[in-house]
Parts: sequence; C-alpha cells; structure tokens
Amino acid sequence: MNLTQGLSLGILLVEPSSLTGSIIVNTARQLNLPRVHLINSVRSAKQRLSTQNFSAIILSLEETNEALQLLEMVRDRQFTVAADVPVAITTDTIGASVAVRMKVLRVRRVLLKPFKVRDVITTIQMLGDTAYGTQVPQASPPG
Amino acid sequence: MKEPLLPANESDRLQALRQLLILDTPPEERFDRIVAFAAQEFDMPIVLVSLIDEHRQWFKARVGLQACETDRGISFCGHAILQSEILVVPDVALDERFFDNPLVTEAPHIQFYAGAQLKMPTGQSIGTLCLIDRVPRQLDDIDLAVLASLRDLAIEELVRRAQGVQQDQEAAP
Repeated sequence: MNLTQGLSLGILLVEPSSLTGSIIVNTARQLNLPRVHLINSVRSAKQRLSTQNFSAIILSLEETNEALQLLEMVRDRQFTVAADVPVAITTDTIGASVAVRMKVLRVRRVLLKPFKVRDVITTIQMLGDTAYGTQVPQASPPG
Repeated sequence: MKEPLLPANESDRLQALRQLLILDTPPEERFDRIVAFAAQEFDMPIVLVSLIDEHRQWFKARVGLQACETDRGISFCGHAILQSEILVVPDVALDERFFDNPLVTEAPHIQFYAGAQLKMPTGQSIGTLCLIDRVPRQLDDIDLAVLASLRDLAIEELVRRAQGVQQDQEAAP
C-alpha cells in the first residue's frame, strides 16, 4: 500500500458521542488530515470493517468487552483491514486486566476521557505517520 | 476604543437575524452544549453564542458570564462579523481597537478574544461563537480548526432551528 492509497482509506473512529465525533470529523477535514469515518457503536463498526479497509482505527472502550473482542478479530485477520493496522483507544478508566489485553493487542495510544479534540487530532496525525512511515500532510489554517 | 463599523449589508443582515425569531428566546440545549464543549476543550472561562442585533449583542448561549447582552458599540463580536476569517486578539492590551474598552477595563476584564462568524447559508454574518479569557492567549492551527468546527455546528443548529420554526408556522391554524 503506497501513501496515496493509504490516505484514501481513511481512519475509522468508533465514538458513541455524536457531538464529539462530528467535531473530530470536521476538524480533521479542516486540517486536510486523512478522512475520518464516524461510527457510533461496535456493532456498526464490525459491519463496516467487513466491507471496508482503513489505515487506522480509533476505538471507544465504552462497550468494553465488545470493543476488545472487535480488536481481537482485527488482529486475527477476520476483517478487510490489515491485521497490524494501528489502533488507539479512548476510555474512561483502564484497569490492570484491560491494560494487559491492550498491550497484547498492540494498542498504540490510550486517550483517557474527558479527552480533548486536540488529543484525537494529534493521535490521527501519529497513526498516519505510523501507518505510512511518513508525514501526514501539513495542517493548514481553516478558512 | 474603536466602535465596530456597520457591515455593508447591514439591512439584509438584520433581516436575516430577525427572520430566525431567536432573539430574546430562552436557552436551548442544542446551543448550550456547544458553548460547554468549547469551554472544556479550550479551558476557556467565557464562551458565547453572540447575536449582533441593531444596537446590542445578545447571547443565545453563554458560559461564564451573567449578562445576557451588552451594547453593540463596545462589542468585540461587532468587529468579528466584519471579517472573513476568525478574529483572534491574542493580547487585548496591545490592540488599539480594544485596550480601553469597558469590557476590558471593567468586568469581565477581557484580555483574550477569538470570534468565529456565524455566517448563514444566505451569506449574512449574524453573530459569532466566541472564546474569551482574562489572560492573553494564543491559538494554533488545531485550535482554530476546532473552533471553526464548533462554529459550523452552531450554524447547522441555527438552520435546523429556523426550519423547525418555519414548519411550526406553516402547521399553525
């Protein structure tokens, strides 16, 4: 996968808050970052992952067990995405057992709620760098 | 202090604002959640949805400010609606338009201001989503993009609200 193909895949964001999610999507667009595809539940994310490839995933752990199961399925090559796709997690809290599972599942970054949109944007930039081994497009001021 | 000039399309702008039937209406959750989100995102003590009426600015939603309106002549937002870009005043003390403004020399003691225009689909800027602090601040590209996103959301809510008002009027006997 080259850079152009990777950027066109976009990033899957699983975020139950429509307000937070829509602001993240719009802000990424204003900064010319890879397109962010917003999904509000793990169930919907599974359906989307069955048919569509993504360059990175940002996954809410609000549905903790379902979300971790989804991530295990990703790593087990049960979806269209690459098994080593970069993943970041958002969560209210993180217990010891969940932390261990996330390490096994190779989670690159954990954002504790209440996180800022800025933190998600820098995570998108980081995941983009990780996925392609290069810099994402430079941010430009909004019009 | 410099009072804000009137936009060239002031008459059309006021008509667009008044057609919304929003002035002096009660707070609404759809706008309150936007200012609350902005206050948390930017660690900002004051955030407003400010609508610029003929002689006043009136706040449809507000965090950190008791007043529900001020004179237009001393408003920062009256200046912001004149610009095509977000108006950012990083340090009010260094800006001749504002350094001796009563909103600076007296409460709420504004030292930082950023206002993103609420430009309706028909082209009129009816107000701003604005951030205010009592200390000088800077905004970077990510901050400006987040503010623009929140502004876009506020415009969407204004449009949605106007459509609802129109539907209610059409349904009325």
